[in-house]
Amino acid sequence: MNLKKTLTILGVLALAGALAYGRVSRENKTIQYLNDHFAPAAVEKTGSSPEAYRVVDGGETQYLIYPGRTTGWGGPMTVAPVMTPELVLKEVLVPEHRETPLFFEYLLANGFFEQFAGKTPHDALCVGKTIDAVSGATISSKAITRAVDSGMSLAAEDVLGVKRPAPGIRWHAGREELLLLALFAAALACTRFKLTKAKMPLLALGFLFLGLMANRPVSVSNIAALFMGHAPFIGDDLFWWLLVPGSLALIALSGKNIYCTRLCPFGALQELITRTGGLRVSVPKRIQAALRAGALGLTWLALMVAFATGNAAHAAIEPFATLFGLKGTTVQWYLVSLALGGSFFIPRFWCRFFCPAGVCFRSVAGFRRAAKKGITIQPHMGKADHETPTD
Amino acid sequence: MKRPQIKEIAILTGALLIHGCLLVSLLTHL
Repeated sequence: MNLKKTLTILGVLALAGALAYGRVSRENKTIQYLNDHFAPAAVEKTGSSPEAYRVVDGGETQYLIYPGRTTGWGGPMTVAPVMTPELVLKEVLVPEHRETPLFFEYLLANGFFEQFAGKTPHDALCVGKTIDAVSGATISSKAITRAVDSGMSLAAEDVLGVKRPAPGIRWHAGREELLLLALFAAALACTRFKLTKAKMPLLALGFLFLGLMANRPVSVSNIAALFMGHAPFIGDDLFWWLLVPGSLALIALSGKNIYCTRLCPFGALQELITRTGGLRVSVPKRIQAALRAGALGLTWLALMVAFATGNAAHAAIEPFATLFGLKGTTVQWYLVSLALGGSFFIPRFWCRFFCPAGVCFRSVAGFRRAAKKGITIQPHMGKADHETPTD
Repeated sequence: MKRPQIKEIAILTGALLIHGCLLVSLLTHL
């Protein structure tokens, strides 16, 4: 067995181990959080739900709590609606979440949680009707609202003996989803019929739509979330489901990396730089191989960190959100400058030698082609020598 | 052994800087 094969097997085994560790090491912090929050009152289990608590002070039940798990923007979170014994919502607590601290503070600062006070099981909680989403945090707003509503349903069943009908999934196939499907169709047609002239207009559309308008380029953290089972609820974020598993499925079916070559907004910007004065310096073969190995190692490390910490957002090291959301640390801005600066000299500098999402997509395309031909291709190589995002 | 060209050194320096930035971004999450 050669060294590359051994390393690949070891790398995959380590990823599987990290994924398992990330799942097992998750401890239930809810009861500890509630004890701290309501001290000196006691918090004890109650009701028929496996996770229902009551707060007892002076021998009397003060509050009932029915925590539920949901998936926000950053990953799974536990949401605990606190109700009076008459089932009037007092407050909503979040004992565990994986949102970035800034993002969570944004929800708090915009008074999102205050809207729930005073609601009863008679008010069907739904974003857009009884609860307003915080702009820029719609996915988490919807996820939290859904968890509070399901907690209240459980409480109504336990205390009042009333079974509320389960809320139906609200499929939201809006303008953005339809535009994305149209882009996918155009990219497939462009690849299938070798419409080379359509490539730049398509990339420009990808830049405008996925970059500037939606600010949702595919990141390796999205792919990590998919593997970790932390994908957002499909009714909350249909766009995510079309974009991430959709891109992977199209690549797996066609064997062509249509996302990077035809749709990626960051790739589009680099192509634009190359075409408007780039120097097109050629990279020696041995350096190409070393840089590709580096990108593979980095992708592996990003996935390991995400899997082991149980937080997919930790893998988001690409400069996309910094550039298109204009938010980022100093290091991330250095990264944007270096990646775009590099593309003045080397076409698609970032895509070819660093992008972790690109490594994942190329691996999928490589596996597909290998499966079709019945031969083994190293995942990071694919047919990289003659199929890079510049082709 | 062939001496590395200036072009090669420049590319590798740029790549090392980018890898450094990416590693810092990754490790600051921990």
